[in-house]
Amino acid sequence: MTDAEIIERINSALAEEFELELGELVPEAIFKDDLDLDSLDAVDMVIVLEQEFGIKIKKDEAFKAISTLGDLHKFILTKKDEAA
Amino acid sequence: MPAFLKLIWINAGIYLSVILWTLTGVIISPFCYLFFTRTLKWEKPETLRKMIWYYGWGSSKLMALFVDIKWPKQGKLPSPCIIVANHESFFDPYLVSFQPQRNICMAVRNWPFKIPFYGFYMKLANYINVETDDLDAILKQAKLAVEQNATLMFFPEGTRSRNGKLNRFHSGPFHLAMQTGLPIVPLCLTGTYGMLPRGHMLIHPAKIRGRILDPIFPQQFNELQNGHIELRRLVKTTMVSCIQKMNQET
Repeated sequence: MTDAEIIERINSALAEEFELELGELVPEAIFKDDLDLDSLDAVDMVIVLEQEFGIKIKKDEAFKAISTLGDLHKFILTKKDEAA
Repeated sequence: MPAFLKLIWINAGIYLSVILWTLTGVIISPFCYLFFTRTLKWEKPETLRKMIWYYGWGSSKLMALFVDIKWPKQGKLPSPCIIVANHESFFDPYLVSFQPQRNICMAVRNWPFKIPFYGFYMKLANYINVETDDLDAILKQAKLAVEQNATLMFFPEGTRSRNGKLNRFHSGPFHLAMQTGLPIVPLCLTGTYGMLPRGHMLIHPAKIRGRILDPIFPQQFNELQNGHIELRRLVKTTMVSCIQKMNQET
């Protein structure tokens, strides 16, 4: 799977889970300010991404530092590379 | 009664009576807790949860002296189950007695655990912190509560509505329903936003109503990859249409 395909899957999963429009999901979007996602959504986000990609992220400290969608893309791409 | 006098009557009445009731609770609850757990040998979390239900019941009965509150039909709920309620106002958690189960384990955010007295009792009652825990921990606590005959209760919007309309639902209770097979029972509240909207302190006259809807069973979505999302949609659609109907009726 290419990086672009992974990013597309991340965006689709988030759009469905959080009732967002795909057009809103740009890399510079800040979760709290632009997408109105908060710490409670972070719990749901972990579940969705773990299910979608079969990876473990809930205890990863780097995940807690993520604030934009672009950061999340990079984080998941790195995780996928590590798992490969 | 002139409108401004009515406002003074409602605000003084509700704030004073609920504060006095809370202070009474602070004083007598340790003795009640010790009596129920030591003398009657009741389970500790269950005792606390029932005491909180009675606190909510007492508070809402006091509020009913000043605003128009009608309790919904108290049918029998499936036990155990997951109650999900819409959240319009600060007073919604006080209306926990709108549903008949007394052994209620609420799922709440992190900040209420920091409120003096309330937070302490919420911890003793094994309330679930859905903000700091992950799904596995939430599931473990929920299963423990169910083993203790508790009914789970969520406000799936996670926060009070900013405009009186239903916010987006978080997935927590729906994941839980999918994983445990417990039915979801929607509880629709109306009128509390008009009574005290978010960010306001002045209580207004309102007609507070509640309706307990039929349980929605998660098994119908078992075959879907994201069954929790379909369950969440169905519950929300059902609640939106019920709330619209209730608002028209009042």
